[in-house]
Amino acid sequence: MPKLYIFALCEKVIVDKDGTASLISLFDQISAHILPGTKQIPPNAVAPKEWCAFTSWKVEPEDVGKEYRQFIQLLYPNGEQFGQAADFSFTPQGDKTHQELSISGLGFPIGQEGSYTLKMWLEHNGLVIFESPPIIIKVNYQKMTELPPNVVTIP
Amino acid sequence: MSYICPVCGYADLPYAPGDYHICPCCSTEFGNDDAEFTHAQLREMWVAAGARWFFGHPPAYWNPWMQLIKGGHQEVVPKFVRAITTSANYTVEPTRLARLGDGFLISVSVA
Repeated sequence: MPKLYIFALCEKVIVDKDGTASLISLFDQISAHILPGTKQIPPNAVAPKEWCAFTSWKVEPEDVGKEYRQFIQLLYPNGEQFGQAADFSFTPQGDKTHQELSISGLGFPIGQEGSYTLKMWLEHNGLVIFESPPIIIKVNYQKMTELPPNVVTIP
Repeated sequence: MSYICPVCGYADLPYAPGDYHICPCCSTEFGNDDAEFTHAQLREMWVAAGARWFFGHPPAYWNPWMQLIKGGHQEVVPKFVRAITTSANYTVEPTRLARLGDGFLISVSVA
């Protein structure tokens, strides 16, 4: 069974021409700077914020040729699911010791303030064979009239 | 085969957007509504009306704003926030050098 080597949440994953991945800006907190005059954030609100969940699996010789499916699921603070769980299949090849997957999100839900849960698990032949400890992402609202320095405004 | 609604970005239209077919998501009737308004205008009207699902029940976990973003229409997604910043609740100590054993020199970060 592949062994989890890395499970991380970041803003961007850059893969160079040799296939080597670099993770940019790991994070576990999101601050939403609320527009002045906004009374309530709708529960289905989404901020157009790109994010990436990166996983690296160390594969063993006995994993070669077998198909595995990795699932990623994002939950609201109240436990509701955001979007479909993303699933990706991979089949380790004999010449690679690691299998890496990068899952990108184009927007992040901000409809609830609190702790979001990013779950990740691995299935083989329809059975869950591994479940990672989740990544907890705290979303907090900040009502501001002026932006802090070095903050990029969403166009 | 599925088609993408040019108005709301719904990506599972069973028919090409034309011939008076109606998008179950935004209710655009192609050939009628888009003869009177541009797709951008219809999109703005749908968003202004709350971007609600039109016919029956929406697909599981459907989110109109994600649909618009995926469809390349990020500009019409309501901006509830002025900015989004990310941070990490851990600190990395300044790197220091440590000497191990027989001359191995490594850098150590403490998280």
